[in-house]
Amino acid sequence: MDARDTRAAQAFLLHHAFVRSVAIRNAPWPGLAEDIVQQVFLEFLGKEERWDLERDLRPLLTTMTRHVALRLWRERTRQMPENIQKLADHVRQLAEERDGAAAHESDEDQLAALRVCLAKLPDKSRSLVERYYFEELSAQDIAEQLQMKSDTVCRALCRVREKLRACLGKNPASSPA
Amino acid sequence: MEPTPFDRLVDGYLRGTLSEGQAAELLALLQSRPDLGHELLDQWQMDALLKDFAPGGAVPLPVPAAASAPEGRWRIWAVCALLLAAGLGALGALKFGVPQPSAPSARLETTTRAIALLARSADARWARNAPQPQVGSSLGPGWVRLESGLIQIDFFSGARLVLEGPAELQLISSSEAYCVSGRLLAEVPSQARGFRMGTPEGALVDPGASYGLHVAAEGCEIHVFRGEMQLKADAGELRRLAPGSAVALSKRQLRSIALAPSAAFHNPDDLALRASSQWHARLEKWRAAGRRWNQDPSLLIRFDFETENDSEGTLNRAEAASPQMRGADGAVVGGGRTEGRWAGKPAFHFRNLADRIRVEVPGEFSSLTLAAWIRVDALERPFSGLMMSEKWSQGGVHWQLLRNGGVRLGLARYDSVSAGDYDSPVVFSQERLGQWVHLAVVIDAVSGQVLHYVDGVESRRVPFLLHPLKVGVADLGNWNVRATDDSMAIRHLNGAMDEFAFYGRALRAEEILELWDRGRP
Repeated sequence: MDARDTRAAQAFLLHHAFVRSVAIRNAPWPGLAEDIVQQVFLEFLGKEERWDLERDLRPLLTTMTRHVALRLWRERTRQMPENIQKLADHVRQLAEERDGAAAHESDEDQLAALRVCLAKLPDKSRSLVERYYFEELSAQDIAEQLQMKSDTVCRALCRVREKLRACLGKNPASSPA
Repeated sequence: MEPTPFDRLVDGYLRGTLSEGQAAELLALLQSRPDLGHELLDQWQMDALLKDFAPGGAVPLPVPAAASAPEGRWRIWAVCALLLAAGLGALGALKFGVPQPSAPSARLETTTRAIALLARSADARWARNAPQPQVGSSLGPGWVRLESGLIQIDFFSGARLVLEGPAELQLISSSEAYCVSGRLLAEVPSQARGFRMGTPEGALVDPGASYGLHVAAEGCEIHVFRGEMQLKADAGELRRLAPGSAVALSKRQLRSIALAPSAAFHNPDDLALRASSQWHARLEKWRAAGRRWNQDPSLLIRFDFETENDSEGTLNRAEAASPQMRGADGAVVGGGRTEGRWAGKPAFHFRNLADRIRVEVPGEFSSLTLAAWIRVDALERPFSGLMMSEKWSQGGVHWQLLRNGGVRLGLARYDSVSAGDYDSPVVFSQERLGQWVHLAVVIDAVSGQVLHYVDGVESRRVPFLLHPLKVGVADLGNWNVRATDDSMAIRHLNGAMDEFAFYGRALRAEEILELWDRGRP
């Protein structure tokens, strides 16, 4: 890896969060976003001599990410059983319709706002988020731990995500954290 | 049949665990109620944001009054890991000019309660109903109750104890313990100065010394072999204990006694010698059991990794399998040898994205059992392969680790009613990384269940719908997805495998227990 490669890798590192957020919007299927980011990184680095690293890379990375997302999406969904493939296509269509109307917000800012909203959650809800997202337990695992029905856990998780979304709406990303 | 609640379908969608039937249910709901489509996308986006926020490990959430912290920084490390995974190396070069995390916020770091390590043991018998840690385990605050044998505890401060059972010791912090009974030798280097050992008669504070301690009902004896110590008896007075001195303390009465020879207390070298002879005996027992297991006609593959030369493949020890499986050795790609469960016993080391052992298991199965001794060094990716059928075609079997430390058995679907993923509870917590663990999974067509086992004990059973299993060509410690272009999923195991067995039948619980018991280090 020469100095130019290193600079290109550094430039990508600085935009990693951005690329991931574009990947998530363009490929709404679990686990796919990381693969997309990885592929974009490899392709970005593979053609680094073409890029002007001094300019704003976001438009370029957005295009690359969308392109890779579409390609991986097709490859991945081709392997899925028919019903899951249909569902995936339907959700992607919904996401595209919505994405066309929505502006891209800075992922960094969203995370800062999310931190504030998480801090406002009641202890019980925060504990649920911690178990599900940070300890990566399944709803079934949590249900066993808390001696609840897993449907109840699923419902509670949906409500917490709704609350957080509402909170982010009230505390937009530009608000001080 | 009762419809699945929408929230549950959302959970399945977000986790990627929807069955075909559930996918059809969700699609029908979304088509009939467009508002639910928006709700699903809202849930998806918030889920993605939360996953982005969580750094892939146990991290405490911010408390309401917390100050702000650089929450985005962990992702730079995620990409650094990605760089390594991509095989580009030269990570050192990236350090120049890259914003490096300075001291990361404690609130964003993975934490542990561990304060010490169980470094060695020989003939250790733990008290009934007490924790029974294995060598290599991290130890948190709590009681160590040893009925007999020797153990070595290395505190994170650098202090080291060799404890001889029967003994009862409370671990308090990385620089403090309390001995109720038993004999121990403490070695406290200068880095661990201030290490405090409490006893019912008083406390020893150690500025860097080596001493023997014997605590019994009638009192305690302290023999100072090296360095100087301070003794604070319960009466309150502080006594200096010079090197080469020894005292007995009983009912607040202190008297000088003759210094015991240092051999009166077991030291780490004694323990290492005893442990080594014990390992050798266990290794021989495992080899003898292995010769018996190899005769099982249902055993299709058994790698014990005791081959002299890995480059020639990994020898399949199954001797009574069908002619087509007999001699079906593994094809080794990359990897290397590392020390296995016992000193001198080799294991296969998976280190980078190329490393794998290729196997082929022709035919169809209704039941099967997979078992392996593995050591996981890190869980950096969403999935790390243990045994993965090539691609993801009908009847394929994917046995893999999840980033949360759980084990997943994935069975590729045939039709709309077949099931998908069967997950175990979390096995590999941070404290369990680097240790040898026996994993087994049984797919039992008779009971219609998938059973996960950890160290010989069933950890979860999940019903599954029957269909023939077709393993075909598979990778150990990796996955070959044969993508149509140049991209491949990265799922190599970061760790080692010391034994692998594939049975074409469902093993009984007692057989799994024996695989663990005979093979445990």
